[in-house]
Amino acid sequence: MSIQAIKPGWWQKPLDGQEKIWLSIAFVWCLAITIIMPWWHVVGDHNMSGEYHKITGGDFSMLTDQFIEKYQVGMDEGIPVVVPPANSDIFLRGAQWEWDPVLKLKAGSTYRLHLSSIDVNHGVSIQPVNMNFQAVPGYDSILTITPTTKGEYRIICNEFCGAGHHAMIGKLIVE
Amino acid sequence: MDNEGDVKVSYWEVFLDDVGLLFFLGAAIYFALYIVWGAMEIASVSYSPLIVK
Amino acid sequence: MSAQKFRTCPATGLKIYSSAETLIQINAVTAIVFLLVGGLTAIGLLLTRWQAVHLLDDVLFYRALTLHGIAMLVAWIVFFEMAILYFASAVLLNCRLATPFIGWLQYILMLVGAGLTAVMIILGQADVMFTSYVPLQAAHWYYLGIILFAVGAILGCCVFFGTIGLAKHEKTYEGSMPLVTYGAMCAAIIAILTLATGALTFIPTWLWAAGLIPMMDAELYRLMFWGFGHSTQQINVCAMVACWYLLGTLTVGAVPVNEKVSRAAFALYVLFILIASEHHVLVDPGLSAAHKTWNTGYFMHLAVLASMIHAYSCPAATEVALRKKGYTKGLFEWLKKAPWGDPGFSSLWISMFGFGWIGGITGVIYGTEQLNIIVHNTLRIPGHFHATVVVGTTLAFMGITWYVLPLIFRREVIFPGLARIQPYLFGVSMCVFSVAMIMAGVSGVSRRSWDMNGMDGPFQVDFGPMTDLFLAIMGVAGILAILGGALYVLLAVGTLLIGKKIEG
Ligand code: HEM
Ligand SMILES: [Cu+2]
Ligand SMILES: [Cu+2]
Repeated sequence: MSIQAIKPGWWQKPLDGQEKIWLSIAFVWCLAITIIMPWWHVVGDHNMSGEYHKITGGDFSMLTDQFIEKYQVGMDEGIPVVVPPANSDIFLRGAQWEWDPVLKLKAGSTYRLHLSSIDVNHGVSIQPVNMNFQAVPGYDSILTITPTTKGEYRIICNEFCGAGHHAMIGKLIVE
Repeated sequence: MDNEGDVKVSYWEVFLDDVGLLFFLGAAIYFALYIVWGAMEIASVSYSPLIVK
Repeated sequence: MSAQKFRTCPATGLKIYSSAETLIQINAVTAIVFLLVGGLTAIGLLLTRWQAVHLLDDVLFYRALTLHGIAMLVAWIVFFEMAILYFASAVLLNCRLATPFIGWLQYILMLVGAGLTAVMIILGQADVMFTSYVPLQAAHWYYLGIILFAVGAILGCCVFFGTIGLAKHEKTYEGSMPLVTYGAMCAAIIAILTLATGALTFIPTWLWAAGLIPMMDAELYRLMFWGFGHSTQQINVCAMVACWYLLGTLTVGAVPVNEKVSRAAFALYVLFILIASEHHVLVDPGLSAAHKTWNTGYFMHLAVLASMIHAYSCPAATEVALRKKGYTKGLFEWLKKAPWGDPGFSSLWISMFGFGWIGGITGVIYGTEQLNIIVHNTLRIPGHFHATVVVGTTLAFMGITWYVLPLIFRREVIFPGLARIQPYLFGVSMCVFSVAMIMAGVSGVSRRSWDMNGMDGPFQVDFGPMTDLFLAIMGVAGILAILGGALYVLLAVGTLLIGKKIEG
C-alpha cells in the first residue's frame, strides 16, 4: 500500500510487460519532442530572432521620435502613422496606455522591428495572426519580420499594465 | 532493518532514499541552469548600438 | 520519551499525535476559507470575461483578479499542502511531530502574510496581479505579506523534514518510507527551493517598493519571479500525485504497481522539473535561444516522462486493486463496477483525466519555444492552468477532504448524497470551462483583460461570433463549477460544525 513503509529490496522487483512497453513509448516520445524543438529552431521560420539590447526608456523614446519624424505620413486617432522603407529599423513604443506609431508596412519586405516599453511591462499581441511577444522596459527586443498577408492588424496589449490596460490597442497596416 | 542479511539492496534504493543528495542535486541543477545561467545572460546584454554616446 | 499526546486510529492502527492533528486541522480549515474568498472573486471575474454580461467595472475586475490569483493559487493551495505535509510525515510515519512550536510559527506567519497581502489588495494598494512584474508597484506591505507567507511555508517544510528524520531516528517505520510520504518529501524539496527563490525575488522588490533600492531590472525580475511562480506549480503537481496514490489506497486499497518506477518518477521531478519555469520567458528579450531551448527541454523532457509514468501507474494500481476484488470479466468490468459513488474515487479519476488530457497535453505543447509565440498571454494560458491546478490539484485535494473529515476531524460527512455529486459537478464543469477558455484563446483573446474589444481604446477589435460562443460556454460552465466549489465549502464546513462525531 502506498501508505505503508516498504522493506528493503524493492528495486529488485522486475517490471511487468505492459509497464515496459509504456515506459519505452513514453521515453521515445520524450526524446522526439526534445529533438524537434531545437531542430525547428534551425529550420523553421516561426522563431524569435534572438536579438536584443539594453536600452533606457529615454533612449528608446528618442529613437522612436526620430523614426516618427523621418517617416510620418499622417495621423490616425491622434497616433502618428509612419511608412518606413524596406530593410530599415522600425520602432514600436509601448507606454501606459498606447502603442505608437501606427506602422504601415509593405507585404514581402523585411524589417527590423524594435519593441520596448518606456514604463512597465506590456504585451505585444498581433491580431488576428495571433503572434505574441513581450515588451520589457529597459530592453530593446528586435524581431526580423516579413509581413506576408495584406490587411489591417491590431496590436493588443496582453500583459496587465495598469488600469487602462484593455484600452491599449495599436494598429499595424500591411499593404 | 540493516540486518536482513540476504536481501540485496540496490544502490538505486540508497540513492532514491537519500533526501540530502536529492535536495542537493535538485538545487544544483535548477540554480545552475536556470537562475545563474539566466542571470549571467541578462547581466551581459550589451547596450543598444543605435545610441552613440 | 515524548510528552506528546496521541490516539490510535481505529481504521489504520496508526498513532495520531494531537500536535500534528491540530496543525493539520487549522491549516486545512484556513485553506478552505481562502478557497471561499477565491470563489467569491471568481464569480465577478467569470461574469466579466463573459463579454455579454460584463459585470464588474475595470478597476474592480483587476482588483478581483489579483485577489483571485493570491487567494487561490497561493493561499488555498499552500495552506492545504502544509496540512498534507504534516499528515504525510507525522501520521503516515506513525511518529510525533518534530518541533510543533515551529509548526505553529509556520501557521501564524502564513496567516499574517496571506492576510496582509489580501488586505492590501482589497484596499486597492496592490492592483498588480499576483505576478507583480516590476516596475509596476504595489504598497510595500503587499510584498512583505508574501515574504512572511513564504518564510512560514519554508518553516512548514523544515518541520516536515525534521519529522522524517525523527521517525527514522526513533525507528517508527522500517525500510523505506511509504510512497505517499516519498511524494510529499519530493514536494517539500521542490517547495524549499521554490520558496527560497521567492524570498530572493521579493525581498529586493520589497526594499525597492519601500524606496530603499533605486531600481529593479525588469527582465531579471521576470526570470526570478517565474523561478518562484512556476516552480510553486511543481509543488502542486508533486503533492497532487502523492494524493492520487493516497486516494487510490483509501478508496479501493490500491497498491503501487511497481514502487521503484513510481519513486524514480518522483525523483525525476525533483531533478528536472524546476527549470521548466523557462516557458514563461520564451518570448522575452535578454535570454538566448540556448537558455530557452535547453531549459524548456526539461533535460530531455525527463520531468514529462515522470508524469507519463504516474499517468500509467496511478490508474493501473486502481485497476489491479479492483480486479483483485473479483471484477475480472472482460477488459472493463473493473471500470464499470468501480465505486463511482465514492467522492474520493470520482475525484481521483476526474483529477487524473483533467490534469493529463487537458492540462498536461496543452502544457507540453505551449511550453515549446515556437508554439509559445501563438499562445503567450492569451486565454489559452488560464485555460491550461485551470485544468492543471483546478481540475488536477484542487479536485485531488477536495477528494482527500472526504477522508480527512472522518479520519482526522472525526466527523461523519453530512449529506453524503450531495458529497457524491460534488466531484462531478465541480470537475466536469471545470473541464468544460477550461476547454472553452482555451478555445476562446485560440482566436487570440488576451488573458487579464477587462474588455477584449478595446472599448475605451483608439481602435476596436472584433473576435467574431465563435469567440462569443466559447465565452458563453465558459460562463455557463464556470457558474456550475462555482456551484460545485460552493457545495464543497458548505459540506466541509457543515461537517465540521454539525457532522456527527465519530468516537474512537
Ligand atoms: C471555481 C471556479 C473558478 C472559476 C470560475 C475561475 C475563473 C477564473 C477567471 C474568469 C479568471 C480570469 C482569466 C483572465 O481574464 O485572465 C481566472 C484567473 C485565474 N484563476 Fe481561476 N477560477 C476558478 C477557480 C480557480 C482555482 C481553484 C484556482 C487555483 C487553485 C484558480 C487560479 C487562477 C489563477 C492563478 C488565475 C490567473 C490570475 C492572473 O492572471 O493573475 N482559479 N479564474
Ligand atoms: Cu500595456
Ligand atoms: Cu496591458
